[in-house]
Amino acid sequence: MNRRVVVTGLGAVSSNGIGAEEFFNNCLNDKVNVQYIPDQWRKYSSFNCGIWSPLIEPDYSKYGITDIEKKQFDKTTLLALYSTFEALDHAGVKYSLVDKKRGSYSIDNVDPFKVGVVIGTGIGGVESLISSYSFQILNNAKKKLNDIKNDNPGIADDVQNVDDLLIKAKRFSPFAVSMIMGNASAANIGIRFGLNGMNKTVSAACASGTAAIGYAYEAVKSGKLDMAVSGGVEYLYDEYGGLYFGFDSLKALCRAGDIIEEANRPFDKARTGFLYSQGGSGILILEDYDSAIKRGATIHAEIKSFAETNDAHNIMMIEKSGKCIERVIVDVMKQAGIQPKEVDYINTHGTATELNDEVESAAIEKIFGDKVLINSTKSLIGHSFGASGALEAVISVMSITKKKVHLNRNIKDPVRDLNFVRESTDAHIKTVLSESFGFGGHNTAIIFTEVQS
Amino acid sequence: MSEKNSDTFEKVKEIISQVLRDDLDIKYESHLQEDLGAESIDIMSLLIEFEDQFGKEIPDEDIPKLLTVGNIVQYIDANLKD
Repeated sequence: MNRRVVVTGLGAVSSNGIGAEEFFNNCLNDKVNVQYIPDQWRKYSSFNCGIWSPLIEPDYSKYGITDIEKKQFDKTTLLALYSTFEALDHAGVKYSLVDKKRGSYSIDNVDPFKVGVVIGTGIGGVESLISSYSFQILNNAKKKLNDIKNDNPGIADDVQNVDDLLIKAKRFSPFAVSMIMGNASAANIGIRFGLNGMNKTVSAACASGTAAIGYAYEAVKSGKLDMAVSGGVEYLYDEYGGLYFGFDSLKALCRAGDIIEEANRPFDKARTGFLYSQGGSGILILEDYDSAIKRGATIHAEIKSFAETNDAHNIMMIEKSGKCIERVIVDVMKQAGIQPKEVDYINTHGTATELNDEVESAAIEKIFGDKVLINSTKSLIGHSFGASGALEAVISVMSITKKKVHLNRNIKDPVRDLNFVRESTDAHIKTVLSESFGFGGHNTAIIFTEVQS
Repeated sequence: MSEKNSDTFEKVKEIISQVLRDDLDIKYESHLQEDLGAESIDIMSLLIEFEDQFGKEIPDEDIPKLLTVGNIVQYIDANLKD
């Protein structure tokens, strides 16, 4: 079986907007959310970078997610559920409450065994891990410090200063295991909507979101599924700035400079690294074309092909010749039966690290020349890791439907003389290539096109 | 005020309704699992809510005593309230 696969619904939460429409519009309007990191983190380390793009958290109650559930789920699950509700509503998929106690639904008029979930995440419920472990590690230590303080009033202030550094969660959550596990987001989407089909979690670092959409596309194309909830989610925050420090110590993050909104400069010669985003989520509803037509769905785009290669070179560094990136681009176009000149727009991986932008732009120039429109969504929202490819898929699809492309922010002196989008502009986009690469050497590419009936 | 009409009882009923998400007839005598259908995951959430909303920790050794709504109201009045 070789079916056509279409995108019928979109959901997004990013550091510059909640909801796919607001996210896309804020990217068009050059709205960014760049802040200095929390002062509290500086008690634990000094940092090279010192800025980030914090997430604006959505009002989860909009979709009936309760305050009780907010204590049962990691933020990754909450974000993924929120974006799934948005995407299903956008797709016009009807669902009915079947179990009030569990707050669970079933999707109307589908075989639930033919509806699946594929979610990408780089790290999963790491915030919950750190939070519960902070209690495990510090609870007794803090009690002992308190005893020392009470028994030794002379050093009480010094002891208190140490105690203040030892931030611990209120409890070791009894839900910790189910919050931490990497498959929690995908599983909870399946539980919430009664989806009995394939339920998969993909971890391919910063390529996770694109890979997840790619595998969901393959499952619908092959007939394994009729509908898939697919995308990526990440939430990288802890009270101590440790996750941030991990990237900062690699010197992977941009230098803040005097104007922090200008620090993140994908494809500019003056780039210094990526802007750390706190996270986000992007969800796409994929369907078999015939099923989507049959239920009268609005079709936003078609997925023509997905390809992946692996550098098999270095766990954290892109292979400098770019041969595996070139290969993934060639493969994805070959599968789609598309020539380079037919690609109107490339939504790049575009991290703003020295090596990524050099290798990625060289591959693009070699294959496409200098006509194709190019931008980096990360120039506006920073790098949201496992969510990034899915958020960029949302942008890719909306660039087709809205006939607009957003600017590549902060590009003054480009690394190559390519057609970078300097200002958001109208453009009739028929074919988009979206690329995502990840630590571990994962190279993924996906092609979205305008729908031809 | 008798325990059955106390503010604590009303608050406990509200918390149980939120956690169990159902229009239950919660009585002072109701057994959490047998009468109200609470599952182990619900009990965990209930304990978290009692701790968070009354502001004190419930030690593990006390948890087996909290079988009915009345047990909980009495326990909260005796141990969690200032």
